[in-house]
Amino acid sequence: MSFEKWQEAWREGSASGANGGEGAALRRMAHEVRGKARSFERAIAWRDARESLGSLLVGAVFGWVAWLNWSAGRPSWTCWIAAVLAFAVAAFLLVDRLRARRNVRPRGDAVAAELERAIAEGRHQYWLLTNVLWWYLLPLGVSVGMIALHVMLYSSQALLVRSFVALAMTGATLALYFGLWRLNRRVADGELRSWIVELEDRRRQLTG
Amino acid sequence: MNENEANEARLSGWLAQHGAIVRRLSRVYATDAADRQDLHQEMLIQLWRSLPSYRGQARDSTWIYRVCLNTALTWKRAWQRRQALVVVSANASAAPEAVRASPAEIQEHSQQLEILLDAMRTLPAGECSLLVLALEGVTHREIGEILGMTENHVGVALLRARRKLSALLMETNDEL
Repeated sequence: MSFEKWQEAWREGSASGANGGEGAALRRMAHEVRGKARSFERAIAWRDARESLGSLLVGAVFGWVAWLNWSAGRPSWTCWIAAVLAFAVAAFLLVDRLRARRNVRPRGDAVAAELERAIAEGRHQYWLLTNVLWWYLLPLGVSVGMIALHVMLYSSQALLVRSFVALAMTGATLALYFGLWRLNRRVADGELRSWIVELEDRRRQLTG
Repeated sequence: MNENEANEARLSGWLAQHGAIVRRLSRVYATDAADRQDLHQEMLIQLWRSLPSYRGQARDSTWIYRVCLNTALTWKRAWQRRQALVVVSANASAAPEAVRASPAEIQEHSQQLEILLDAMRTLPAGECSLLVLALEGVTHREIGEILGMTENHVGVALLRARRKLSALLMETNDEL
């Protein structure tokens, strides 16, 4: 069978059950696509906000505690550091998400260029996941550690109680963060790494 | 007419003229019906989202091929499933092409198409994209513009891909 015959089969065979149509039906479809695209954008915006919301809340609570201590004339430097670190993580996440959102809008570029951008984005995500300790876990861990230190240094409770609270906070944070670190590494070295390799293969096939 | 209405008019114009392209491409890059539906809808959404960037810098068909191929080649199935956001339920009438052939011819073409698609899906995604565009009847020059390759490179790569496809189709026919 010649290539021209396959071309014919390609056009005619895939024409059956077509989603085409005319006039009102197509306008309705376009209107529906517009609505769904808007939902899509909203879902992405909410996901991005949610990622930063945790750190923002932690920062707000620690900041509020710091302000209470400061206005009552009690030592507050540990809580201020804790709040600033949590806010810094939230700001980092927000900036990164905003940058990523700009990159995902389709620009009608040639496929090779788009693959290049997707690879760059994949590598950036890989970097974020493999370095989650430095930009997320460590600052937030130090932030919680500052609160534990505050309890140890300035609480009016008995030393034993203070030590227990500080150790419990530190231990729980370390256990949670170790789990998060493992999870991030697994995603990065598993599906994300193989996804990047797949995209690189596709680019190589096109560009030789 | 506001911007959204103008974009809706443009998108429905694209779908009237080139809607079959979107459907054919989704059929190549997604195997089962649910994935095909997901990918088709994703392509429509990406076409909508690309409208603000479109200033007539390329032919409509070139733009549609680019956006749809970019979507297909960077599409993450699992992520799309999780999002589960999009259900386009257009109950439009069949495309004019569908009534050109008799039912028997349509069935024969559909069977041939299935054989062709099965063979193409075993090829690497890059070669598959080249073959899709060649089957669509796109010129080498335009394929180069869509994929970001030189015209000469398109010729060489396409020849290689066609040879691979022929070998695969011959194997399939032997099996049949």
